[in-house]
Amino acid sequence: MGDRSIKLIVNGYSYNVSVPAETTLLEVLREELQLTGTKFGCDTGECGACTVLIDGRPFRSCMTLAVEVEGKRITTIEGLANGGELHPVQKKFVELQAIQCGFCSPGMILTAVAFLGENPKPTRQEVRRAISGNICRCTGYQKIVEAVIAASKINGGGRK
Amino acid sequence: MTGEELLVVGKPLRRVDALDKVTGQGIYTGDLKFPDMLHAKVKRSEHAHARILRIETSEAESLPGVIRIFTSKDVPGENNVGVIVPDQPVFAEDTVRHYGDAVAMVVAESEDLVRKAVDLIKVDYDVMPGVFDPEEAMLPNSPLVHPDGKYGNEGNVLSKMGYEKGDVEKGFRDADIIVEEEYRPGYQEHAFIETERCIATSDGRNVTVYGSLQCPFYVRDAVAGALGIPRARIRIIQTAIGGAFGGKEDVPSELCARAALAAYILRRPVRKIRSREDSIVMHTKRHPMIIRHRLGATREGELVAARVEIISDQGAYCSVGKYVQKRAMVHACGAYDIPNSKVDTSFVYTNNILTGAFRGFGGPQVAVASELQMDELARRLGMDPLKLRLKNIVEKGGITAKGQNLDNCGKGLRECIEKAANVSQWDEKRDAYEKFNEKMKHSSTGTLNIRKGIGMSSIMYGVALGGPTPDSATSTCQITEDGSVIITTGGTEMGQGAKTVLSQIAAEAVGVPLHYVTILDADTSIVQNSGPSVASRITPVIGEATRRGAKEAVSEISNLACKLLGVNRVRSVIAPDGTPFSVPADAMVKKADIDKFPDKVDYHELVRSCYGEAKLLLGVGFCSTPTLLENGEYRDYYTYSFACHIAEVEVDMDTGRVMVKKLTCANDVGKAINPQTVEGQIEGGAVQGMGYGLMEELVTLNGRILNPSLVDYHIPTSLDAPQITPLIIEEHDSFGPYGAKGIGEPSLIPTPAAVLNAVGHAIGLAVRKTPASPENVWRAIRDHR
Repeated sequence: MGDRSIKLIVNGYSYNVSVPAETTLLEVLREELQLTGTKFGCDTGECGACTVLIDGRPFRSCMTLAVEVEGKRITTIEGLANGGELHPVQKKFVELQAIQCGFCSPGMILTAVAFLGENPKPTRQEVRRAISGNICRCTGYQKIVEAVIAASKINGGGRK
Repeated sequence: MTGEELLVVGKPLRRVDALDKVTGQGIYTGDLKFPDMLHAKVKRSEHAHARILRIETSEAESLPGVIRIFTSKDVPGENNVGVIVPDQPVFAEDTVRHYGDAVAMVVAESEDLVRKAVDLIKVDYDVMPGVFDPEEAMLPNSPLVHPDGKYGNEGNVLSKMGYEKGDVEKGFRDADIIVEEEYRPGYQEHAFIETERCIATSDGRNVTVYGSLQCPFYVRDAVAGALGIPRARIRIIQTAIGGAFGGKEDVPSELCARAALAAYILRRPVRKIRSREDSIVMHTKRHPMIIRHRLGATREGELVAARVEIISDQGAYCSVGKYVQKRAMVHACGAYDIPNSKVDTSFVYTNNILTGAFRGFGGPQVAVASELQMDELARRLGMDPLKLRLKNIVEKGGITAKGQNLDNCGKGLRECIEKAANVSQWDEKRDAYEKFNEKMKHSSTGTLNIRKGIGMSSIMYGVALGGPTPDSATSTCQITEDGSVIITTGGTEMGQGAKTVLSQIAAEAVGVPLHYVTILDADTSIVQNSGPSVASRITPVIGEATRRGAKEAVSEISNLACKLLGVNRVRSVIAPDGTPFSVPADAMVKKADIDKFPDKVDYHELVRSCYGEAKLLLGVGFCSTPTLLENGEYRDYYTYSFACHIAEVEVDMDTGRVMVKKLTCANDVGKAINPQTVEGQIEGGAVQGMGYGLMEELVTLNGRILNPSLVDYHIPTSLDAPQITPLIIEEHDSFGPYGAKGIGEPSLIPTPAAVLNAVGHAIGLAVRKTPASPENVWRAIRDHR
């Protein structure tokens, strides 16, 4: 199979890449665009560490072919802070120590951001359901849930 | 301390690595790139026990882009690694002993290619009978895993360890009641989200390895051994780590030795990233144990004797098994004052996955046995489990079950138990749930057949590496011209908050705000061997070395301040704008009033003056734990920390499904250097422990792991994790920095038993093996009917 030339819009920038058709979005982000904030945890969609936003919705980039998302708006963790100012979810993850090793954090944060966009005033149980596809082995989730709830109370918490 | 206010320690300050980690800027091993970088992957064994007849690599080698295939004959030095005994081959030579053995390694230009090439390697085996049950492995005619016995093993028994205190037979004769049961805590997989990985580079003489690793010095020694070159020519540099929990303790030794070999021979950077399947099939697991526990007590509930026999499956290689064995032996009878006790342990080679370090290091397994025994005893005596524990816990001035005089700690446990019971409303809930369950038994209406339970587990934990050898560490501190502080240690940040806590300790000792301090990633070429990042020893041991190093580095600054202020002793005050000042130690001045206070010197001026006068502002901190006593005896552990966890559960009697609703977790940490980080450790440890007690089950069949993925091996998600109330108890320790003990492991150790005891309370019978999965709980209920 020959390489395919595709145009990707990542964090507001447009990129032209030429990759084999079976290349995943995760590989393109990490290996071609050097956006290594998106993490490689299992490569089989089990852990959620590679979650990115595609048109504002969370997807696993290891299970998404790059050619599928041509022309779509992709947001990675590097593109979340608005001109250097942290997104409210990022701020609260820092403030409440909702991070330990940090390997699940990019995917977790993006999942939470997408969720707050749809449900700006969630309950704790709704947060738990929303992030249940993103596995964290360090924190026990409590500080993550509290951080998402705290972010929902900041003006602009639902911003994507 | 003389009651002076602490500047930085004890405050819930922001993690120093937080910003990097929420913006994707943190650099993990897999994020590093080098020009001309190659990729590597191993060919794993296809049998649990077999002789290798032939390794056919020509087809794989003919793939364009495959650079070279390595096997045991390419190893220039020792083809063995092992922290305790060198029984694990870098590449299997003539025999494979479990499915995780590496037979060969492909090095190629891309990840895709290495995967393809590995499948093209053909290995001919002569399959041998294997042994998969540790008790069968101890029988005379069992197949032998290491037949030559050169690792100190007798047959398959790697090691026997035990002790006796008092007169156990007499103790049981004096007992009014004896509880005797068998417990089977199982495997646990670390399931760090970042699998093991490393990148090795070499110019053909020196070797540098970047990796996700807990113990850079273990890796250095393994690489030196495999390559047959001096340790001084090897640099191991730690990157950010995506979780470890003991699973990256000695495991990276073999991984990095193989990558270093390829880089050394090929003179190109070589990257190795384990797939999830390779990770689960190849790395150590928590030791499964068979624990036979006999406990004798008087009618009034006073413990008089304990007899514990432990048989554990070591798998194919020793790893850190003997150290786990020692910890299990010392802690086998729990945190109780038992005058007569006898413990025997056997760790046995099999052809299963090797077992090794996992947060708690034998502790959670023995706590499952000893803590379920306490509940069983309480049940038979008709006593409240809380009261039974309070009656028997070992306290300051007492003697542990193993025989250590608790002369320097022992107040924390009662405080943990009472606080956890109080906050969880133990008495009220115990009653209320029993009434609820009684009502449910006679209720025919309602859709769910639910029972509720509340259970506890209380533990002691020997902090840091055990005696007789003291546990020691070094740390260096450099104060630069602008007053900022550089700390280097051999301790690693793996998510637990080590960099934050060590920064706080260093900032406190120097007398500057937190942001003045930078902790460098561990680099074996910079610091002396500081030991491994294990055993909850970073805060107390490496932390104390860091405090001492920082104190030494700042000593000339303090001397100068004393001279300028005309006093013998100074202390630091940080002004509201963040400027640090030295003031006389006994000056009654608060930071808000520092502007108007005349007897002060700006820290930055002091630093500049010291540089002007050519003073040394570098300190090397060294410390070793007080394990040796003056009378020539030694402490098993220099001190203990304590914990009590209380779990509340709901059990569906028709399906056996358990939901943990609440965990109340009291942990004695000596001193919380950063209370928010301590809470994070407690919450995370408790949920990992809950996973072990409740849902995590590694399924093996004749040595093969049948569920090597996170889809089939279930760890807690946000929907499984309960509401947690962390409670910090502080029994000041006289050795650790600012009184701190460790928290990494005791956050996990009590939880599995607490969950199982809550299940026991709910359903009225004990589940004596982990996990309390729907199947195991349902079977316990059915077998009882």
